[in-house]
Amino acid sequence: MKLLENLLNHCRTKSPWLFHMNSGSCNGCDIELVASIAPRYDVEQLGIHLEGSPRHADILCITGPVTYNTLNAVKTVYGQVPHPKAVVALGSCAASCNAFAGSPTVVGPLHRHIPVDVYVPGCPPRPDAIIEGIAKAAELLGRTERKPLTDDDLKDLEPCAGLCEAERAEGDAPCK
Amino acid sequence: MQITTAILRLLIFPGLFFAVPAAWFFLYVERKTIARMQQRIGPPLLQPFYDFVKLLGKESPKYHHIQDLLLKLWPALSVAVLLAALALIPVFPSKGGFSGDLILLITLLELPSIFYMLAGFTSRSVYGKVGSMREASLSLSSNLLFLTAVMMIAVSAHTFRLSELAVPAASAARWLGVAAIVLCIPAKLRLNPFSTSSAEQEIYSGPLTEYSGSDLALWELAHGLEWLALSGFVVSLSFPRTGFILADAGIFAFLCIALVVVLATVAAATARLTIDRSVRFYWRWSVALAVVFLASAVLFRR
Amino acid sequence: MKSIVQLLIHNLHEGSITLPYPERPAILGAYRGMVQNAPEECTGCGLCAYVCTSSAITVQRAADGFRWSYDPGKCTFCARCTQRCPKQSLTMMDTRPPVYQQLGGLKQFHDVKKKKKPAVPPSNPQPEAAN
Repeated sequence: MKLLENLLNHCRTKSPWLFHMNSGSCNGCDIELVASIAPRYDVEQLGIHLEGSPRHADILCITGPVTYNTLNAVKTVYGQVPHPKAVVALGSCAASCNAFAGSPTVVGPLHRHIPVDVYVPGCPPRPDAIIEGIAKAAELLGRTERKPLTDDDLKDLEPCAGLCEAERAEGDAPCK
Repeated sequence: MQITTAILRLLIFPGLFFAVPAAWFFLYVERKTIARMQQRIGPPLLQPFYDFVKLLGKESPKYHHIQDLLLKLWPALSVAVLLAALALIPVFPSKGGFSGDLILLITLLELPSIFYMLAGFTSRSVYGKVGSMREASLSLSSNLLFLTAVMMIAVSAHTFRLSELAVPAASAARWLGVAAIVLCIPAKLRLNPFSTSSAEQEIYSGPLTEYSGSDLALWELAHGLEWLALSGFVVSLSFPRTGFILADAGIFAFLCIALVVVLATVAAATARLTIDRSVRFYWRWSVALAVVFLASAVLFRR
Repeated sequence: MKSIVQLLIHNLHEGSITLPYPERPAILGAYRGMVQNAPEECTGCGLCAYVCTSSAITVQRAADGFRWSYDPGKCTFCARCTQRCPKQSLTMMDTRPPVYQQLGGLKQFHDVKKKKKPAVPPSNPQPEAAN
């Protein structure tokens, strides 16, 4: 059985399928993601394949600070990706709301709503940074034991409310 | 055909143990050709195998009652039907068959497309419905050409037996029929320019939107087996036999892979046509050629 | 305007233009990468934090010095801080920020303690009481 598990983990690392979602971004990060599929960078050499349906994907790449209108969509799509999955927050908007922090229509960076595994900083990140982020997420899929999250686990993400404002007030309060 | 020969053909060669790695190889050739045409490197050789094993390890969404049974049934049936079709293809014609097996082969090659459509309707997703409707329109239009071409080939050789058809005749009817069948293959395999039923950007994968896990692995395998079956069918009707088994097998394999490369090049070179243009394309060719084919079928009958 | 067949032949002839995975394209000049502060020059005026569009730079002043902190994960690489810095202590490196997994994992800061001023006797004469 150990051999089969090793084979399965190896195949999970070698064939990460991607689903890309835009949760209110300016499209700069989306353009760079699509550029990484173009011949110059060619993610297909790593087996990465951009899929049409979230149910087919392993890695969910989300760009943009989560806006109020896209919040339900982000949570629904996260629920639709089958286990085991990894989430990549693409761009500095998804990591920290960037210039939109404190805006009334932005409900905060991605980690407040779904668990994020890899952050790819940049505004927009270069395609080689995006590929490195996806490769790291693929490695995580194969390496760690990923259990499906329950509703209780997802509720625990809420205490990060107002991180950006609190951080600015106190200086550099670490996220707990 | 004896029952033991049938089982051997279904499971060993050209059945499960041979066909599945061959299907993976054909999928690799398709993706690598498209990549090379676009100046990219493309995936490594074992990529379809990695995809298959990874999909086996993913969870499937939970459906209930009859929907669950049907959704699991369609991909399993597609794979089973394609394996049966592969068992019928006459690579070495002297091994025997039965009369009328051309009709059985055509039926078996048609069923995966029907199961694909049914999968879209069964999944009760709006994207599935749109994709299935597109697949239905495309299949209706391209099948007219396909079936009249097959009919002309059969009538011009005066037989419906695959083992007799496998000896190529140097007649215009045979070559025209084979060319028409090759024209229909991109629609059956959902390749560019006729890939609207599984358009990623428009309808989120179409009929297969709600699939995941081991069922999706079987769909991908069915796609690879369909490549194998269709190219094997076309090549078996048209390549010259030398009589030596190894040479025949080698030429057969080479011509199948050459056909895959040609069709993948066409897929890399063209864009996706909308459904009305695809249907119009096939209806035009169908009407033009069906007249020729039916006339020649009438003229060739004894 | 080439036909598609000519394009395909050209593509096959040229071969692949892909960079194999860990390779990266060369960075051209004037690339705006991560912000770098020279601690000797920095006076803690806080103008960089004032003009920063995304609050990536913060300056906290205390009685005996200040702390300048920068989070590349929040930075938008607009170079306003570099342009505004009166002492030119901020520069943009030509490396892009790396991928990270912990929230706030790239944050960096440095503390500067103010030097103690030497005791200076008052040199200006006391104002004479009006008499």
